[in-house]
Amino acid sequence: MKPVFKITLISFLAVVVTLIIAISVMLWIVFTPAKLTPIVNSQLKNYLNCDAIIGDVELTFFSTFPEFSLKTNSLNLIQPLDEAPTDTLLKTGKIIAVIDIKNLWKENKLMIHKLIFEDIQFNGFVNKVGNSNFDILKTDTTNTDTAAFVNPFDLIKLDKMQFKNMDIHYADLKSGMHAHVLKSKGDLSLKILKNEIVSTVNIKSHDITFHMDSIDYLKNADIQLEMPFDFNTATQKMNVAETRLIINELALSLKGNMALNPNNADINIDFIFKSEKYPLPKLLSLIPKLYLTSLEGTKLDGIVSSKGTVKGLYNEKSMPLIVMNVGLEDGKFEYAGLENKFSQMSGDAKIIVNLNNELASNIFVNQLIAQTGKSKFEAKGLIDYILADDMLFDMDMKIHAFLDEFVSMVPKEMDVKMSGLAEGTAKMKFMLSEMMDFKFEKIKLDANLNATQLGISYDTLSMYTDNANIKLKMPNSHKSSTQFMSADLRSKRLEVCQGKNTRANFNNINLRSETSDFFKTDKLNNYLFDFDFELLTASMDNMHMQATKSKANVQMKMNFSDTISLPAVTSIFDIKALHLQMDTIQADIQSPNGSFALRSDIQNPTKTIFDINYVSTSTKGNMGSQHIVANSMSVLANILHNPDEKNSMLQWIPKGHVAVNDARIKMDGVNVDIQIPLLDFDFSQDVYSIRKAKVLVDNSDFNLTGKLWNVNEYFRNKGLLTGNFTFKSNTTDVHRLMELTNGFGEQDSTLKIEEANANYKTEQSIEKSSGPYMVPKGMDLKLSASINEVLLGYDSAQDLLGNVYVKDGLLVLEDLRFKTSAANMQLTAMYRTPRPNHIFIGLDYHILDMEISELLKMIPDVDSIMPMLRSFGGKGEFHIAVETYVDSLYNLKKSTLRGVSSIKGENLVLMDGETFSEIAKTLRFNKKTVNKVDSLSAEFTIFRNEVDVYPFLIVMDKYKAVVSGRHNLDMTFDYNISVTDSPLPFKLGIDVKGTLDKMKYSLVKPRYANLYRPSARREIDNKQLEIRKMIRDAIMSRVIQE
Amino acid sequence: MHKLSNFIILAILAFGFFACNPVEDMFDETLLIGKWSSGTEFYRYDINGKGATWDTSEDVPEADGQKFTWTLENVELTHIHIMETGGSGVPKIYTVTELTATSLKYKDSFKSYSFTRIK
Repeated sequence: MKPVFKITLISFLAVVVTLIIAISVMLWIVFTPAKLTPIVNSQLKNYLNCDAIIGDVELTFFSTFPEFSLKTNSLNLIQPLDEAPTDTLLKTGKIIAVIDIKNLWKENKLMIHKLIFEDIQFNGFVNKVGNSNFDILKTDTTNTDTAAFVNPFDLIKLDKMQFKNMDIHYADLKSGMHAHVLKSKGDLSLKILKNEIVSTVNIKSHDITFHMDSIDYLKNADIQLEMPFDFNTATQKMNVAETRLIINELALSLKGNMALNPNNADINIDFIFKSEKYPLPKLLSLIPKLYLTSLEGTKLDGIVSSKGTVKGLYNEKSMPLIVMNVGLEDGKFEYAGLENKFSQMSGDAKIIVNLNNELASNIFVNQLIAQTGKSKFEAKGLIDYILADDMLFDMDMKIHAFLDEFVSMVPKEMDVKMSGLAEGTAKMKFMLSEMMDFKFEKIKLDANLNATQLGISYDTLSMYTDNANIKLKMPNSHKSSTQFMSADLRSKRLEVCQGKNTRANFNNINLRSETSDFFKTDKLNNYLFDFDFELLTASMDNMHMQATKSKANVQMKMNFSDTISLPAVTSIFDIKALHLQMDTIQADIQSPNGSFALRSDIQNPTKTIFDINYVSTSTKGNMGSQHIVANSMSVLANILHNPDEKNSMLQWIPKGHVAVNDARIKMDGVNVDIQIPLLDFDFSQDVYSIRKAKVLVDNSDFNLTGKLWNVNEYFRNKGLLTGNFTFKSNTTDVHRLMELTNGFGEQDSTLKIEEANANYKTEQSIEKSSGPYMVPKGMDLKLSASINEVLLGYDSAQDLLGNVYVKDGLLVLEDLRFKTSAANMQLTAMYRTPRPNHIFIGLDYHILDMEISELLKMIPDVDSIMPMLRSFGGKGEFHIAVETYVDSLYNLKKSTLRGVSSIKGENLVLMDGETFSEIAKTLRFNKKTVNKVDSLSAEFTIFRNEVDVYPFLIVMDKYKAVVSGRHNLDMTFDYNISVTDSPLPFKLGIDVKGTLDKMKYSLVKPRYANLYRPSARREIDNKQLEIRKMIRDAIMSRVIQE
Repeated sequence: MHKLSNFIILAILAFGFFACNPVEDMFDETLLIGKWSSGTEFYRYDINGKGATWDTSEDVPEADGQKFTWTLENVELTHIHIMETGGSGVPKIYTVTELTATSLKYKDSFKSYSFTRIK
């Protein structure tokens, strides 16, 4: 080693050793802890108004080489305060301050290169009256500006302040704020120039909890903060440069400023921030649950990013306004009460968070796209009240929905199924809770959808259309009773089914409907349907219907929970053409229109009331070979249906009016059409009143008016169906009338008849179609007839007057008076049908001023009873009262034949008859004498097959003879002719016996030689005359004198 | 002598008259009460002077029998067959020739009738 270097080295070492010795002396002798600690303590007391206990303060050099530093082992600040959990404000472990002694000494600059705190425990506390335990800096009370901080240094610079193992507890009872910062560390650089503090804070804490007013804003949060800022103590404003904040791995950059208003401690904040992309669940976990109540039950996922601002005052009553733009990617949404899970959600929105007013926080959705199943939705709009208990959605949506994916949104008890695709737009406005709770009546909806392959079914009711336009509006603004929803449907083809057997197809239908809330099945629901269609074809079982160009308005009220009442329906319809068909029944109706209403009775809901007002211009109906045609028809009816009534015929109680014009009916069994030019009648529960009824049958015409009543009692089998009608006719064909009424009501009669016939083996069941005419039972009908001309087939009658009665199985023609070419006639007839094979026919027949030959033509049967009449010509009168029973084929039961008859004539001409030719020959009549019978008056009785001719006198030529005898229906006879006056000197008698073909004559003693000689009459003669008188008086008493 | 001969002739005629006019029989009408038949033809005489007749060959049972009134004076049996349409009815007068507990016979000017009691 060279000497120079050696000397230099030794000198340097000497200096160093000297310095070390000097520093050592200074550290261990001059600035010992014993000397420094009291100095620091005294200085602390100058600045602090709390108790401060500081450990030994020592000056170090070697451990902080090449800087000097002050070091203490501990610092305790004690500041008792009422209600404070502890009196220790601050408790630290080791504190090391590396100070630039040179600048402090020469430049009056406090330059701390490093300040290290270890094991810090801070307990900040503000009691309920606002006193804090950290207001510990002493102020100069003599100075008027007591609040201003006086910096004694020209410069205070803190290059780096480190906190190690820091726990901070802060409680503000006045504001309800609590904060815990545990297990934290940080560092701080600080530069203080007079009024300006420039600092950078870097803090890491793994456990930060902050709650205020019982709201957890942060709980055990992991926070990293790197914040450069400057603070002007004069203006109390802090500018924060680009700051990075990471909360629970959610990174956020922010910058801005905030200023403290010293007058009221308000802090004016103005920050902008920008987040990275982060999972939505983590973001939501940072938001106090209080502000997420509206999302209860929901499950949200996705990646969100945001940027925004935080502006406004912060004080005890105010929070700054947060405005941020949020982006969402790959979002998912689920709700516990909703089966549909939305995914692939994306969009962006502007979110305004106003913590001062929970109703002023909202989200403006610029775009939101979501998908559930195959359905897609696109929405934009406003979501309001996002921090309140409930959120308001006001959205415009584009819908591409497969309806089968949304069946779950309809209450299951409604048993609704949907299918098909609905595309279109919809505006919706609703509160989230309303949607979640299915309070659809609160939802506002305006949708315009095009549906394809749309199918909807409700219970057994279903509809389907290939394509339809549907407009929905909720609520419906038209009517309060149906304000829940309006739905318009337009479709070129719509099919509606109920069950398997009821089907309806609409072509070009426009349906406008309004409804009350049908989800409220326990309330009365109102429905309005207004529709028109080009064509409807419908079928129910074997019934078919077709309607063209129709329109209708239907109102319906129903309560789903009311299983007794029927829906109340009122409808107005106007159909251009209607075709109905059921089996062999067909009807074609032109322009049917009117109204139809149906409702349950208020007092007894099981009863149903129908109101019908019907008008049509033309009706054609067919039932098999029967048909009806009517030009115009109107029905005004009120009908009550009472299912509680056991008698099915009385379950329907009608009341109303029917008018038919120009109708034509073709019926089986009637070979001609029945024309009804006019039919006008009223009907009620018990009375049917025919105002006008004009009927034309073949060449017959009828005008019928009258009333039918006691219908109820009739159907209850408690009384007779009673009627009183007036029948007027110009021409009436009697046979047609019989055919028209043949078999009417026979079923009931048949039942009773069968009972009556049960004892007779000969009686078998009677077929309705082959049986005799049976008079209706249970009726008391009167028909007052006035007919100008009656066609009887073989003859005609004029000026017919009389009454027809139908009374409980008895048909009576009473006092029918009419004129024929042969005579004036009077007829009373009875037709009674106790049983089909035992039918009673009774006649009381009076023929006045009669041509006898016409009589025999008119009533050929008279010839069987009294064949001698064939031999007379001229006019006379004939009276007969005869009755008998016939069988079902109208064959005479001779054993039941009873009758009396009287015939009387004057100046009768003896025809060249067979009988009297023989008699004249036998008696040698003068052939030149006019064969004239001066008078003839005879009475007969008919019993079984015996016709007894009571003795009567014939005066002819020079003879007077009394004729009597018996004529049998087998055409045998036994007559006696007692010749009382003759050219012969004695009286003689002739018996005529046998048949017309084989007559036997024998002269016998005259049987009634003195019948017309009162003085010589025998008792038997008198009796015969009495009987004759009795017969004639009785029979003549029935003749009505004109 | 001429007077005598006239008297004799008158007496003979009177005798002959009375001889030809026999004393009428009397029949007990109580024997008539009951049902009588002649083939399918039935008569029922009731105690109150009423009765009914029917013929089962024409499907007319007793229930549908037609009513009549009857009187029996000496040998004269009178039926008045009542007509449902009213009036005096149809009189039939017979002369009874036999009436026993089992047999009824009567006749009119044209025919004889014979019945057997059935009940």
